[in-house]
Amino acid sequence: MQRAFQAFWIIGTLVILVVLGSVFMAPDRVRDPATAVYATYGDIKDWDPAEAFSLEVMVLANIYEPLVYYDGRDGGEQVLRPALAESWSVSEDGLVWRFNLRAGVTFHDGEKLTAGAAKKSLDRTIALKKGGFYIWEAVSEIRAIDELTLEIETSYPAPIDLIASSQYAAYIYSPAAADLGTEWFNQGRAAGTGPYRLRQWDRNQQIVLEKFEDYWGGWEAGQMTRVIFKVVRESATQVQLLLAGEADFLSLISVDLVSAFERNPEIRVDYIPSWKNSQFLLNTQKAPTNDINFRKALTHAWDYSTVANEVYAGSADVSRGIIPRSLWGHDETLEIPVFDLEKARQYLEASSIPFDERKITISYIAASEAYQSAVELFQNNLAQIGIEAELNPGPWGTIWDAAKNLASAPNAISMTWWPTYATPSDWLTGLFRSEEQPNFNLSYYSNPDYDQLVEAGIQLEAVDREAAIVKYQAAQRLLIEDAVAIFYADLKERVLHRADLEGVRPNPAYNTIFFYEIRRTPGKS
Amino acid sequence: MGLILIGVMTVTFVLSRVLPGSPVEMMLGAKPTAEQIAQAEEELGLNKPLIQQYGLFLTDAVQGDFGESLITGQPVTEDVFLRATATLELVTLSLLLALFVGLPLGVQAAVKKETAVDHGVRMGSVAAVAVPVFFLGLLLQMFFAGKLGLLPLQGRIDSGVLLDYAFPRVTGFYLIDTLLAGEIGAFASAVRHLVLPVLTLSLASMATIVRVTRGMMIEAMQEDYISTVRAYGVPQKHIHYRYALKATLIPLLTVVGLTYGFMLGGSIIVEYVFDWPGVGGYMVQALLNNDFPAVMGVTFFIAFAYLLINLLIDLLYQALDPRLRQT
Repeated sequence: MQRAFQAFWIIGTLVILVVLGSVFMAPDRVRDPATAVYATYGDIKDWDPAEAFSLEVMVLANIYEPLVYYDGRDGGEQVLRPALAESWSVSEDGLVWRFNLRAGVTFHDGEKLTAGAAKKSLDRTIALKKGGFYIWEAVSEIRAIDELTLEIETSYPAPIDLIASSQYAAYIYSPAAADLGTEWFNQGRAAGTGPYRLRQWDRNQQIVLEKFEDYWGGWEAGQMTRVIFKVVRESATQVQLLLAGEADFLSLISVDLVSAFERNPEIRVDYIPSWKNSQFLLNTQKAPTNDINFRKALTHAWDYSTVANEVYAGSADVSRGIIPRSLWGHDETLEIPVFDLEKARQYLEASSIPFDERKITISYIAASEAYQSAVELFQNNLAQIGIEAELNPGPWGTIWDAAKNLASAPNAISMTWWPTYATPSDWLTGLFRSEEQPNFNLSYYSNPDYDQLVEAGIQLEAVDREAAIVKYQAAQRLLIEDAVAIFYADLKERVLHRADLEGVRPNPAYNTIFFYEIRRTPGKS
Repeated sequence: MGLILIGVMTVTFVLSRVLPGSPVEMMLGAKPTAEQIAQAEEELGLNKPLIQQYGLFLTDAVQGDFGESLITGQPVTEDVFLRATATLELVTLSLLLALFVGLPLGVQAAVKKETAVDHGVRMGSVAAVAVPVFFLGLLLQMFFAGKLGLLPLQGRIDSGVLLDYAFPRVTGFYLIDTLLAGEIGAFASAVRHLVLPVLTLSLASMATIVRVTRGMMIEAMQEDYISTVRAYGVPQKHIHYRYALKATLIPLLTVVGLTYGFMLGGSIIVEYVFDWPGVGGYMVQALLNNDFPAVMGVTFFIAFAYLLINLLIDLLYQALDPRLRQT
């Protein structure tokens, strides 16, 4: 036993020596200034650009490119920029779109970009019926006219230029990769035309992108040549990495963090308008919210400015209707309910709901601090006018499932929405168009006049934008009149990054950082 | 053993299906259409009767196929292997460290009962159990990574090392795999990344080991046979380590076995703080998202490991205690 004990000590000493040796001998950790590190809280699931419909965009948008880019950085005006298509046009009847592709573009696997390749890519995405494929619903045929001319024909006039700029289901990928299929992609492989190619995916640990030498946009000194997405699930760890300069961006950002970082000269906090907005959908078919006056009382009991300014601490503006300020079609003249408990009381009096039935249930995503605080404030205000609110937080999968069945649906449910491509109709149809079996219309709203207005708007979008906007505005007025939801926050994206990075200008149309646009200023950190 | 496993899997299967919420919503991304949801449910067989689903699951599981995770899209067996080896590496080293330090400390505390050494060790072990693991982890991170910059904050290995050194994942234990590939730089990086999480995780179990060893030693020291060897004039060290410590091994083994089993699924917090890509984090993610296949896969792994450890301990009992061999 004593010998064993001695061996114990010898081994122990050896281990300590190995550890000490490792601490001092391990490879140098000096950061390369041309490497950007993004601390992400989740790994990628779908590598297939035809399927990716979630967080993946953060990475994929640096590897793949669509035909057209939507630039939403300068407010609500529509701005389209050439991407893989240098120019495009539409026939007079709005049914045939012609895209002239950029010459001399190669995919990361060496294939050439041709109209045939683009056609193959889009045809596959549509046929797979995965992710956001439905944005191409109007398309009847895609044709390669010649080497670089792509034609897309639709069965009704649809804004194919906007659709082609989507961050989902619109990326053009290599025809060879298309043949290899989803299984090939999901091994952590990619073949796009973007500035970065995928160098490594080590599951649950990191994704490494590397400069694609033959990128058509060219390269100049000072650009990021390597981008590492590091999986860091803990917020405190992300913060420490950022402070230590081992990460340039972090993805888990709480309100308290922001105020602490705003005083740190090494860190920059940017607020960028986004296309995301938050609302509480009110169930129009379930008592007591099936009473319109009761719903109106609720919309007046929400403290809009406190929620935007305090709960969201400046990272949100009070919504004016469902279409956010950052997108075309927004209506600044729309009359919206304001926080006024007296008015709420009046509506409550006018409602047919007796005192003892003034109880509602509210579901929201439990993990969200913002929802939690906003709902508690709401609960408090409701108590003042004699409405009892029962709060049911839960994971999204659970609360959504319950809300899709009228019997188990709550009276109000949290929702944060953003469009699949740059159109107001995404909100208007996705959330409020009549559905036999509710999917996202969790207000259970059904109004033929509204449906007609939205449908007319969609038909006009590609041929007469102004007329379409008029229809959408009328539809929005109906939503407010019928008090189908509490529209309360147009969200801003908060981006936290090291201050020595220049050119960080997120585009609300894409949930990503375009690393190609970023430079590191030497000496400034 | 097989029966227990089937029992555990059946209970988990039923529980996971009875809970509200469907996994499909999380699997299909941000805004799936009703048709896509229906199609996915069809593909996953979620619209079949429960008993039929169970039958299908068992048939596949027996062949080692737990299906694909709905969250990661990868085969569950592959996911669990990758994650489990990371956890095993962390937990094994933590336990070894805990034993390595805890055993001698326990012995010393018992031998020097009611002295300053004993009080110090006991206070230390109470403190070690009392400090919340995440807090200790954060403190260590702040000091060794933040302040001194000596050790890395998180992860299993440096980003650059992962990129520049190729080492095939043969065993899944980075320490072994890097050595097998002859990559000393990568090995050093793996060691550095292990230091803080191992320290954090070992502290609480170390305290338990110290206390158990101390208690059992004190008891053993009062036995007649110890008085006898003492009367024979055997040196103190021999008495402590050759005669008394042996008596503590059986209960200690039980503690070690249970701790090991518990740590496999229970190191979640340390895994989170240090971004250790282990099985704990995978389990939480699977449970939160109703990722049925992953839940079943992880449950199977943990149940199996637990049973295996118990079996090994039973065998070790016999090896250590001749009295058990005779019965």
